Amino acid sequence: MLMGPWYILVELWNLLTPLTLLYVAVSTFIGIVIGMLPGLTATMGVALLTGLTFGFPPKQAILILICVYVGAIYGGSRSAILLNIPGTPANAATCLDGFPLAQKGEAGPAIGLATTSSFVGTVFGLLCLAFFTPLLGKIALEFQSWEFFWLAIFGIVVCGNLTAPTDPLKGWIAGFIGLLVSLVGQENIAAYPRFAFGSDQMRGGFALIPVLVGVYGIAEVLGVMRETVVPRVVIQIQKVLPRWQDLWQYRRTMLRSGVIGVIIGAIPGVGEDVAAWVSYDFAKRASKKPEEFGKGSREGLIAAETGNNACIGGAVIPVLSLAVPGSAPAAVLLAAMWLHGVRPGPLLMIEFPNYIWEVTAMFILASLAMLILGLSLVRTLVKILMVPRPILMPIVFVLCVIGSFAISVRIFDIWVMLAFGLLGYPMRKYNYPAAPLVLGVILGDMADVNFRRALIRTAGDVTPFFTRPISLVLVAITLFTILARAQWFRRMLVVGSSRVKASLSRG
Amino acid sequence: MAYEFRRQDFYTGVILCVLSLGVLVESWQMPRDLQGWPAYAGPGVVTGLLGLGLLLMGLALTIRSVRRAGAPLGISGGEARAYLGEVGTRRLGLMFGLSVLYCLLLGRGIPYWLTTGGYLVVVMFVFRAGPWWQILLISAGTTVAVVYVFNRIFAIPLP
Amino acid sequence: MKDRTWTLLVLLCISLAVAAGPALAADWKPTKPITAIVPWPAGGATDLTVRILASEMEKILGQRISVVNTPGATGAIGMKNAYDAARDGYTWSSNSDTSLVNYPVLDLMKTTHREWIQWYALFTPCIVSTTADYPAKDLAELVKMMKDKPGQVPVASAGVGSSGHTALEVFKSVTGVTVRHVPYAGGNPAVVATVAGESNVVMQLSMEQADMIRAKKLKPLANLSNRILNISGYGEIPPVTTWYPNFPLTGSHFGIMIPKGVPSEVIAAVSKAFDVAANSEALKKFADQKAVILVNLKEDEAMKMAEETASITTWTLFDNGAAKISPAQFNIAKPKR
Repeated sequence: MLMGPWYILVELWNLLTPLTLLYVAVSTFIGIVIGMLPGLTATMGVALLTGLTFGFPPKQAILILICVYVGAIYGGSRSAILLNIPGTPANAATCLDGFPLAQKGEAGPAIGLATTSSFVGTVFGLLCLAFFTPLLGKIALEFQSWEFFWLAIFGIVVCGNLTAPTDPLKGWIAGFIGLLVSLVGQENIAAYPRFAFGSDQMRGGFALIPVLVGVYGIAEVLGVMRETVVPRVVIQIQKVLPRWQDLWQYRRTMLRSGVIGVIIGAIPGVGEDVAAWVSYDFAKRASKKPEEFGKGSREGLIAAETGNNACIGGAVIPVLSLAVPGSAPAAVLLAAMWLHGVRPGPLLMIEFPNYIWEVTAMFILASLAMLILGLSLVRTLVKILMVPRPILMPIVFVLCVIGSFAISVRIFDIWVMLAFGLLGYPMRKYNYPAAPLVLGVILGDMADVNFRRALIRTAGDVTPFFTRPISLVLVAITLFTILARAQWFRRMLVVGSSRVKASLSRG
Repeated sequence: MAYEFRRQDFYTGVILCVLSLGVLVESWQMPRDLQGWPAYAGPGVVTGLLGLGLLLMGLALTIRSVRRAGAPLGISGGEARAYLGEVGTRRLGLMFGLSVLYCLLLGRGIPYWLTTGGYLVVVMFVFRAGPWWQILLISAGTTVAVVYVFNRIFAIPLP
Repeated sequence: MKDRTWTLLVLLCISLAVAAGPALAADWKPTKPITAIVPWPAGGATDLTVRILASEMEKILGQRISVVNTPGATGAIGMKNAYDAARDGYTWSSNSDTSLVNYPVLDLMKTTHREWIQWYALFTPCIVSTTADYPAKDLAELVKMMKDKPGQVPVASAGVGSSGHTALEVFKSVTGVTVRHVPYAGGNPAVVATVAGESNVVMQLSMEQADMIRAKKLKPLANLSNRILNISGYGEIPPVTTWYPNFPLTGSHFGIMIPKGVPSEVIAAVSKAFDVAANSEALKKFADQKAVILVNLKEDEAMKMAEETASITTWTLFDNGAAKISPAQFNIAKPKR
């Protein structure tokens, strides 16, 4: 443990050859491009590159995949900021503040900030990976059906908080529709097709990506094309690099989001998307200026981007310690490790204790490449905003179509995307937020399956939902989150804390 | 502040009520003894609860829109015609129609580059994106780039 | 000018081919990339097998084979996509025999396994394992404990119709026990849940359990085949036939499938390439790591094997009520016990 930094340096030195550096640069760039394209996700990127790097030596292949993973999760922030279309599900929270910033003419600084926060998040994640793997690896096993159920409920409550501040009812409606959408098709307990109405395709259900691309992408395309005159955005690109003082000012947000990202990453099956939402929500609660959130808050942008990138390191923790993936892209990374003869899991720590340092070194290279490539491309990318909309939007539409199709090569997905675009457009117009809908689609199946499985496991007994330690913690957090919105509860807290302070000063 | 979207909320509320009733009926009809598991593990439990929640919200939305003051609930023929006659509505319909047409043509044996290039050219022409040579150039460039990146580099089959 | 060079080249090739004899002339050489559909998410057992096979077969066929994941509806959507594609040999599918034979009786697809030409490269038996600190020392004790507490011992599986579930149903009908079946969304989640203690017993594939068994996080009691299974780094796992001599073989074969109707020279070429891939070092290494058995079943042999699997699995699922459609409708023979 104390020798850790030294081992990391040794592994880093071993990786530093011109060829590997070229691999790092190219693959991080591919990752960023994949992330930027709506529909192509980090999961898909890692899977695609697994095929392409099959013949490579294991070390190089895994390095390339890690670079793609980091690049894609970061790259999605760019389309979120520039076009209001999240490039991957992990960047949906980035849209909320990134796009308003771009509309104010601050696209350059916004991307700069997103890049730096992603970098900070990745580094935080890799530090946790290097030094806390044995500790955090255990979390993965502590989460069972009961805990997953509460986690999903907690996510739904977060969803409620993300609702438009003006009209919570509409937010909840969007959230419930999202939850129901995720439950269409064959369910995961008894393989019963719900709401399929005899159709083979409906039986497969609605995938997240076409829904996401439809609600954000198609709705945006339709909305922009409707307007005859689009207000021209004045762009200032002189300042891309955020100032050091600015970053220091948000150190708490970054740290908080980093911790949230890593922990959510370490929980199996819950990935970058949830991490971004939860850290966004926590940042909003803790912020001194919560009213700015959703209107171009730098804090919100930082929280979302730090959270989702910190999640990467977190998601790799259970991969290495238990061979259990912490997120969807990590699952493909695990498969790639197997294919290359690396056997992560409980034996890894005993058989190849240095592997963890090697992976850490790979992450360091990936995060540096991401930072450098990310910052150097900003000026060119921001020009996208100057392209006339009648030229840009049809191109975006074509990309949305091919992106939704590519994810599982189904024509049906294109129609799902169109349908949700048609739903997303009036939703946006009449004040229904898209965020709860997307989060609902992510969480619905998790809530449903774990609730029912937990009941099967205990033969109908509900007590474990409240007696298992982590469940209890989750229940407490969830209750607190709900109550914190109520006026009387907040007043009580303020009064209580002032009394405690008063008694302390007296004593 | 006047109640915005009173009319839209009213109709949305009614649609939601109908939709959630449908969900409730479907959930009720789902089997309750699959694989010998008891009813609480049935596929319709969670969907039923969600349907119930959505029904309550739909009712709340409908009642709220009726009680608060705002635009009248009925739609007159004149208003509908005025809406349909708006430039924005026509642009929206045109864009959506062309896009649906494009999706309909995909996966029917027509080469991908032809449908995509054609779609781009037609949309850009219809919306007067610029001079014709620019449109052709951009469309061709985009199509080639998409085919190259997706099909050649990533080896994803095209629709 | 260029055209003439081409014509010359083509003529040269043809004359060479004719000279080399009819066997070479009939060989199918793909001229564009082949798509191999995996109807499951990336990282699963089918996905891993196909990716190794594809990378080996690419070398022989001389074209890229791109692996595409189309998950959904227990794999039926990806299978249907492959079935509906042009029968030119450029779209393959892949699956386990257990899933393939179950589609018609679970009403997921109308086509039976007889509509597909199959090639299987790996066989992975199911292993009955318990949580590391579970009191049962061997299979007989486990059965006794299950009988003492009927319907209470939780057994994890990868969901209705999966290999682990089928194994469980066969196990129940042979031993006469009742248990509490807890389904998960995949083999790995089911194994992890057992390691964590949420369930006590798991009967998933050896492939999904190997690493946890090596790390002593799972205690294997028996493998559900008729011979000893040796896991490198752990040791031997006794066959279930030690206790129940008539226990039918349960486990899954993994491989690729192409719908019938593609030209016969394509089938011949695929068989030839598959034969090399199935004997490759990469696959051998993978088999050792994942505690699976190498097989090399092609076309007719594969079909014969699928027929046996069909009779065991589909009838078990039908008898216990998981499948609503009788296998008899598809002329699948009832197993002899």
